[in-house]
Parts: sequence; C-alpha cells; structure tokens
Amino acid sequence: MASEQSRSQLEDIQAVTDAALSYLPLEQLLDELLTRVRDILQVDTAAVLLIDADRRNLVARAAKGLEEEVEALVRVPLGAGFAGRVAAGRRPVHIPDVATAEIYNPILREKGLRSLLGVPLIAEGEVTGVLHVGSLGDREFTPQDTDLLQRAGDRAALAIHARMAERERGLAEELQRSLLPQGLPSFPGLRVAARYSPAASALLGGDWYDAFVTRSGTLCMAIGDVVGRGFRAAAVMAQLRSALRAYALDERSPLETIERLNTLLRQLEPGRTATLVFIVLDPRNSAMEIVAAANAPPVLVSPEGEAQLLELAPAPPLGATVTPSYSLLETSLTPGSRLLLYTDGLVERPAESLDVGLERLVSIAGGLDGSVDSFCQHVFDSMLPDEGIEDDAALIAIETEVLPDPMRVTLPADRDSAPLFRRLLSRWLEDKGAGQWDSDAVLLAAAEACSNAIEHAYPPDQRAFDVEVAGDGDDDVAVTVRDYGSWRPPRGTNRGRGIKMMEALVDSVEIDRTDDGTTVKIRHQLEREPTRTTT
Amino acid sequence: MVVARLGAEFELSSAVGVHDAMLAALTNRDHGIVVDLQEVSFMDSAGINALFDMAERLHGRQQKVVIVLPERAVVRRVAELVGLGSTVGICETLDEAVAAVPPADPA
Repeated sequence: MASEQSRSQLEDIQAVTDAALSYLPLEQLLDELLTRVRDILQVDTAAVLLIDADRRNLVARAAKGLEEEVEALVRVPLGAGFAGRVAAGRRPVHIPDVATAEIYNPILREKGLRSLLGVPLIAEGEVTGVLHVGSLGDREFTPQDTDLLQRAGDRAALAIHARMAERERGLAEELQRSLLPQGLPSFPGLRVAARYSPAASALLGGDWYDAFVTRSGTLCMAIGDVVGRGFRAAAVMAQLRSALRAYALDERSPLETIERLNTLLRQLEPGRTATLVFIVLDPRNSAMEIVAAANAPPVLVSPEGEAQLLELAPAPPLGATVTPSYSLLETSLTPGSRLLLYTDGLVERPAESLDVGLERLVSIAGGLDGSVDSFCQHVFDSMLPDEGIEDDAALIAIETEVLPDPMRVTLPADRDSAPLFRRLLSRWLEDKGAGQWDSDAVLLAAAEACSNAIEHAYPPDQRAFDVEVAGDGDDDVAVTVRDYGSWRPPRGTNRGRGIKMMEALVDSVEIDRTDDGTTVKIRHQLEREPTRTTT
Repeated sequence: MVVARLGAEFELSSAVGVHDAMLAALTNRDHGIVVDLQEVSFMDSAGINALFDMAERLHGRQQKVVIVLPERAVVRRVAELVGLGSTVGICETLDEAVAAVPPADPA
C-alpha cells in the first residue's frame, strides 16, 4: 500500500513537471497544468495570478472552476488577502476555513469555497505570481498536497519567466532600435559613423547615441548609458534622448542642456543615474563645446594618426546629485582628425582594470586608415570579443576634412537648411583667403539665391536643390544654385529685393530660367586684401 | 516703448518669428519700437523685408520703428543698399535710438 501510494505520488509529480508541457504556448501550458492539478488534488478550483508590471498587484491570468476571476480581471494588492499574502511572504499559505480568514477577492467567498491552499511562483529568486487551489467542502491539505502544488507552481514559474524575459527583450530591443537615429548627418567636410552592439546576455542595456543638426546649423552629437538593465532602463534612455534633442534644438547651451537633463532624470526616476558626453560642433570652424557626466573619455585621433584620450574634468553621472558642477571644454577638430565617443561596454572587461581597456582602445584607434565608417567597424571588431559582451556597447565617430573645391551640396528645400550652408560657405571662403568684405558679399548673395530656390521656385513635391561652390580661375569664386521647380515671379511689395541685393553685392549674377528649373550663377572676384570700405 | 535686441542672425529661418514676436510685444500705448541690430552678423532680404513690413504696419498706427545699425559689416551695407533709412529711423547708438521714441502713454 505504501509503495503503491508513493508510485502514484511519483506519477502525480511527473504529471505536473512534465517536460512536454514546455512545448506548449504559455496560455495552453497554464490551462493544462491547472487541469492536472485540479484532478490530482481533487479540488474544485485552481487559479494562477501574476504580478503586474508595476509590481503592486496580482492579476488573475488563468483559472479552472473560477473562470469569472479571470474574466473580471481581478486585481489583488501585494500583501493583502490570501493570494497577496502568499506572494508577499514567498511561502505556501493554507486556509482551512475561508469563513474566518481575511480574503480580499470576493469571488472566492461568492463561489462558496471553504478551504484554500496557495503557493508562490518563484523564478530566478523573484516572485512572479501565485498558484492556488480551493475546495467547496472542508479540506485539510497535507504536506504532500503542498509539495505537489509547489512543484506545479515551479513549473509554471519557469515557463512564465521565460516568456516574460523573451517578451521584455523583444519589446526593449524594438524600442532601442527605434530610438537609434535613422540616418546620420552628412555634409561636406564632415563624416559621422556609429555602431551599436546589444548585450550577449538576455538582459538589455541602456546605451544610446544621437547626432543631428540644429536650426542654427551646428552639429550635435551625444552618447550615453543609462545605468541598469531591462525594459525600464531602455525607456529611461528614450526619455533622456528625446529631452536632449529638445533642449539642443531649442538652442540651449551644452551646460544648460546637461544641467536640465540632470534635473529631469532626478524627477523621472529618483535613484537612477546615467552617463553622457554631449558635443556641439560648429561646421564653420570645427570649434567644439563638450560637456560630460561620468562617461568614458572621448578618443581624439590627430591627422597624423596619433590617438589620445581627451581630458575631461571629473563630473558626477546624471541623476546623482541635486546641483552637480559640470564644466565646459572648448577645443577644435583640425581637418583630418577624428573624434570617437563610446560607452563603457566598449572598454570594460571582467577582471581587468578600466585603464587596460582604455589603453587598448587608444592603441587600436591610432593609425587606422580608411573611411570613418570602416574605422568604427574596425574599432568594434577589435575591441569586442567574438562571444559578445555582458554589457551593451555603442560608439559614434566624426571625422573632419578640408572642404573640397568644387564643393557640392544638396539641400532640402526648407528654410532651416540655410544656416548650415552658410557656415560651410563661410569656411570655404575663409580657406580661399577671402577678406571680410568679399566673404560677406558672396555669403549674402548665395543665401539670397538659396532663399529663392526655397521660397519661390517650388511645387510642394520638389524637396531639394543643389549648390556648387567652385574656385574659378585665379581669385574668382562661382556659386551655382540649381533648383528643379518652376519659376514664380516675386510677389508682394517686399519681394524682389533679394535679386536687387545680389546684383549690388557681387560682380555678376546670371539667372537662367527653363521649364526644368532655375539656375542662379554668382561670380565674384576675391581680393587678397579688402581694399574697399563702407561708405 | 519696446527695445528688441536681436541675436546673431536675422534671416530666412528666423525672420518671420522675430517679426511676429516684435509686433506682439508692442501695445497701443507705445509710441514705437527700437530694433537693436548691433549684434547681428547676418541679415538677408527676409530680415530686411520683415523690418519694412513692420514699419509699414506700425506707420498706419502712428508708431515708429528706429533701428540701431552696427558700425561696419555687411548688415549696414545691406540696409543702405535697399534704402531702409527711407522707411525707418536709423541711429548710431542705442541711447540715440531710445531718445528718438517718446515714452509710452500712462496706463
């Protein structure tokens, strides 16, 4: 009899830990498990409640004999009532008589249940829910009953955990992907490239980068790491990235931007910290303003291929203190140099000091030829082990170069594209040795030609125009602005002033209108020394 | 009286917004606006047009526009080229410009 009993117990245990169950989708697995538990323990009800994302409530997820509990989306606060106590106490709770016990969920009473037994669902040390059974008649649950229910609970917990981890990872990866910029800015004299590598483990990191051009024509670049893992870290990262763009597009200074981000993070999520490097670069002279919060130091590679770490003043991470003192570093990037920003994941290895990783990066970054994109790839390939890394890693690199002659650029037919173009043209003219007078004249005339293309010559579906700036003969410069819209004569009393201004400022202006678009060609002789003066 | 001190660039991408902000700052009690262009390093025809347009509107309301131009640089050249002085008052210093507009009527 004893052996018969233990054989049947063994069968029962096998029934609830059945490996075949793991091939079922979660809903079916819970359904099958509850059916088996109810049959084996000969009870009237069986139900699974899972802890909500906010970790404050239990929500009914599957039930047998208690289907209304699921339909009603019953929520039980953690710690309250029967199921709440099971979850909060992380151990089985047996209620021999419902009438005298504290029960939160009215459905249990309404159903006429007399005795209840509940066990916690625990996976990787974390409570994910509760499995409970109930009987309409008086029932004294034995330790064997509790043991069997706990085994069934463990089985369910495993499946639920795997499913949640998979779902969270999928969502967060999607979020992370959608938050990396779709395209990186590109214009003459400057190239940007970036890489991102997710963590090899099933958990997500909070690394991010961004690069964009402001309305005043400066280039902004940022990289950062939100401390922590998982969906929550990715969500905080998303908010920080959006906020940085908003502050920067609002033309806030880098210091103001980083201080606001600190305040924002403290409010969004007290206790959470993040690292950041934020750079604003002026395409006119490659001057950079850099602020940083506890991020690894950027690597600067000179045109000769010598790499060095950029020395930043020590500063606390974002979110760490109420009034952190961040400092501004001003420097510039000579043509042919590269600047590499990256997150800790690129250089940190277990059981190795950070300095060793930094040295390795500096030695790899120096003396690499090729495009800035292949530079990024090479740095990534060399720094990251084949088997992947625990943390995620991101890097973004920029490279400056001498402006070409001729310089060609395609601009969106949008008012906001004018400032960036003016910065580029200003630098091009300075490279040619143009004096202030000539430079101002060509800049203004070219700006008027661009305004014309943007303002007058466009049907709504024409979105871009081309500009070419070329040295022409000895000290001549020719700026050609070509659009592909149909010409519209200037309207209103204040229109038409632009052409008059162009003609007065530069040596010659030719306007060629055809059915396919309009070409405005400006020519001007640059004088070595500005001899003319204002009257 | 309102004094508008404009920043580095008064051009296509910002002209309309600046124009509207200046008009919005003026009340009926003001006798005019002083536009300080001394810090402006770049002004194109969109900026010029915004000044002409504002002067025309305010003229109809018996309010005047006085601008302060930087000493040299392209902004002055442009203003002279298009004859801005025929429509708005031009001063050399901010003090001079402020003195050219009577104080606002009492509330």
